Amino acid sequence: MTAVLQAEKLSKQYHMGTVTVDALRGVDFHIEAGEFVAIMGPSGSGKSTLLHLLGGLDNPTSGDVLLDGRRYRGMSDDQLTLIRRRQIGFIFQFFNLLPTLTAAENVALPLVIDGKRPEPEHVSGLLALIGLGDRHDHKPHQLSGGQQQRVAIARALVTQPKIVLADEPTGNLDSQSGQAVLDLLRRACDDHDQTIIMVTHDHHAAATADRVVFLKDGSIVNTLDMNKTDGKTRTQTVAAVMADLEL
Amino acid sequence: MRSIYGLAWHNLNAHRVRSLLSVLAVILGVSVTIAGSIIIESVREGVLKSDELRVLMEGLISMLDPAMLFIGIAVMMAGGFLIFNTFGMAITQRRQQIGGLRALGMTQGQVMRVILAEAALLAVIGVVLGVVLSGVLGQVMVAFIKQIAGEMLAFGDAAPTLPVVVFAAVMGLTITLFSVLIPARRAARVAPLDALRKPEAAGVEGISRWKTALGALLLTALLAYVIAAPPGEWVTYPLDFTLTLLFIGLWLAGVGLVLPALISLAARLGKRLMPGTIGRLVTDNVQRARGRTSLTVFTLAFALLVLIGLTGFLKFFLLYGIGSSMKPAEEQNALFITRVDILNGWGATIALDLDSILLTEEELQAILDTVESSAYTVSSYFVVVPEISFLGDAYFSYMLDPTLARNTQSMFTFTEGDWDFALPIMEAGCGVLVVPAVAARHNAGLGDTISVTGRDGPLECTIAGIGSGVAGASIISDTVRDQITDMNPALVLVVPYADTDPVTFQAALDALVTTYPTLHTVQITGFMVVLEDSLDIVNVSLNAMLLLATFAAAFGVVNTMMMSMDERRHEFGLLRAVGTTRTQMRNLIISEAALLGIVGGVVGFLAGIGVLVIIVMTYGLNSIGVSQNLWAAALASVQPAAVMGFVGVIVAPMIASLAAWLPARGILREKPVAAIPRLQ
Ligand SMILES: Nc1ncnc2c1ncn2[C@@H]1O[C@H](COP(=O)(O)OP(=O)(O)OP(=O)(O)O)[C@@H](O)[C@H]1O
Ligand SMILES: [Mg+2]
Repeated sequence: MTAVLQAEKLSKQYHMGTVTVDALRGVDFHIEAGEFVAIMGPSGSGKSTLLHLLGGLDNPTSGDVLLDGRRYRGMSDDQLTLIRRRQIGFIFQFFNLLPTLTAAENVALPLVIDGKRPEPEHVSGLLALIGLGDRHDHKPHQLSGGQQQRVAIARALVTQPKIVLADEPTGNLDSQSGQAVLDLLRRACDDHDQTIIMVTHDHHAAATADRVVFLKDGSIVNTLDMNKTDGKTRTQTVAAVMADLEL
Repeated sequence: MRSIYGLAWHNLNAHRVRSLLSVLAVILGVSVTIAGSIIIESVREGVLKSDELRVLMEGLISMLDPAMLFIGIAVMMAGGFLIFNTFGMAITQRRQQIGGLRALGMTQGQVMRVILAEAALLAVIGVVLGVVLSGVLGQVMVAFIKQIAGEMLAFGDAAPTLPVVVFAAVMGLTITLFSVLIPARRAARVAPLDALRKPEAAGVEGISRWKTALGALLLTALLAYVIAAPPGEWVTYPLDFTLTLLFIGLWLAGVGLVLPALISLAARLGKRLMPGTIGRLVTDNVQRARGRTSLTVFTLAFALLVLIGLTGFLKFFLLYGIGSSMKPAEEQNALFITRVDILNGWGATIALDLDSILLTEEELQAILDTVESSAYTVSSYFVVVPEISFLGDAYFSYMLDPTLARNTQSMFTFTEGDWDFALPIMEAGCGVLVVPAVAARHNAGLGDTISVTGRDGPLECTIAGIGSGVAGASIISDTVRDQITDMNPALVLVVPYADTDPVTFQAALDALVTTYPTLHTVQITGFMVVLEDSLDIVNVSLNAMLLLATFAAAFGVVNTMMMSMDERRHEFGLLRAVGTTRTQMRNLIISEAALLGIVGGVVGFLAGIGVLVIIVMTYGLNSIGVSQNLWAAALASVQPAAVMGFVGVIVAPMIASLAAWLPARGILREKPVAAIPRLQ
């Protein structure tokens, strides 16, 4: 298998007046097509920063990201935007649904932006998949937090993107809604060969992935291959590594 | 939703009130522009029954065209400010959303196009409705002016002409789109990562010291310059116009630059008057989001400034400029004899056609027989010679016997040349006496030849003198009468000899009028009063139109207030949750708005007077060959304008308070819990 997404010596510094924060310090990382990777680490370790750089939402201070071997560096804003539009689906912790659009319209939005005519069955199918088949015409404020989050996931999947980037998609959800979201992501990976990168604080969520990458102070400090870990102790194994990091 | 442009419609629809106000602003601009032309057309139709007569009076009426156009543009600009502010604020508020769309793969170009589509939609709706409503507005305004004008003016029926409608529509579209250009570019620059940042209500912002200093410097330097060394004393056509526009622009820029500091100053003064927490909040709040607050206040001030500037300028130009060209004749107790009963108002002409205005040979002879022994007389033909018209190309000129004209000593005041130079030229062929602006337009000086339109083709005329003629009109010698006109004179100017006995002279005139009831004697003094009355009517009418600019400004205030109320919903909820009563909240909101209104009113008032002084001192009257004490003219022109402005100072805070109170009511009626942010 080949790396669909690759980070090369990725660094990001934030300058706040005289203080410089090293959010990422030369991260090397690659993920193969159809892989489901979880990123864990203490608060402030650079997880979100890494995800944003992988998705082309921000420029690194140094290093580069390659998607299918194509470098982000040197791409124009429009080129990067097209990559986001067609190849990547985002799920944020805060949902960014458009408040004036219905659930169905929100899901269809990426297609509309791409100038495509969304097929109603496709959108309905996705809404049904996330268990909101009867909430087609509801506005975001008429949905619960968990339901909104699921709409955002359906939206990230609507273009059938090669890669889905999710930042704490279960962070605001109860365990039942959280599990539904994880199942959805797992299915996207298993059934549709989509590549998933998910930032999470939840040991159990991380254990759903194929691989868990641990960040601390902007560097990758550990990696766990879940497929080589005993199915019953996965959550505990992840928890143990995290406990170590947080010491 | 089929395409990204559906988003534009969604956005407009989701914020109906602000969309409505923006559309109203466009409607106002477009309909005022068209209504203005309807009013003028209606005056044309009313005064002028016959085509030949229309040609002669066209010049006087066409003086109103630029004024009306100016008003239309002013209203449109107030509307433009509103739209700029609305879109600017909307984009700040939608930052997170736009970031989200960018993260989902919307390009910068697409974001920009959605915003422009919103504006285009508003503009098209506004233009269409504006055109439709302009007819009604025009009729209402005509009815209003009829009321105040009484017999002074007559009106006919008029409909908007296609070029005017097209012009207004294009202007409406252009100004709207232009106003959103900057906000749209800002929207396009929103980074995808902004989707992840919480939107924040604006905090108290500092003032750029150097901008304030620059503004203050600009204002004082401009005023000092025009007062110490009035350019109006030396400037000539066409520089007078350019320089005045430049100075007005600089003055407005200066006002804009110092405005934030003035708002802070007012806030600090306000704190003294309103002690306690509420006072503190008021002072802080008016200092937040300075850009939009300043623009709102600026719009109010701008409306007032235009009101003062235009009223004052008309007074200055018509009374001190054109009016003063009649001073010599007035001092000589001159009068004219005509068939038009002008002292009873222009409306008197309504019943007349051209034939009934021109003097018959018999009447002419009778007039001459009556006054020849005791006065200088000049029979005046009114002609329209485009090349020597001083305003546009339709203003009338006099055709006279040059020797007789000289004898009166009041028909023309030379700034270049004199009668000794002019007479031989005018007697030998076509000689013209013109205002400096006409000479400058032809790039010609004293003794140069220009080509004018005659009845049977071009005619070469020599510039025999440059200066100021009665009512700004140029004079052409009657040696070439056949080549210019075949009509009789419309009036005879009569200037009594210095040693003529006024009593016997008056008796002779009375006898003449009794024998010929069609004739009327019009003393220049009386005519000046009629002119002033007409000017007052024109002024009231223009002010009524300008009031609509104030409306557009008021909509802007409503809109800004409404949007910042909306933005501060959470804040209000918090204040309510910690125990602020509805009454306290209402006082808070109204005081904020009133404070802004007061600043807008006072700044508009002072800046309006300033701009008027600058216009008078810079434009001067050189283009029509009149030399006046500009400083005295400026002071005199300021007075009526100042009264209008003072009304504005009182009305502006009221408009602003009302504008804030309306949206605040709805928000305050909600339970505090409604203001607690939900996840979305
Ligand atoms: N826009 C920014 N400006 C300045 N510093 C930033 C910015 N964004 C992130 N940082 C800093 O970069 C570091 C990494 O931030 P990041 O958001 O990637 O952490 P994280 O691992 O996602 O943490 P959390 O689990 O709390 O979400 C932190 O120290 C943070 O303070
Ligand atoms: Mg994070």
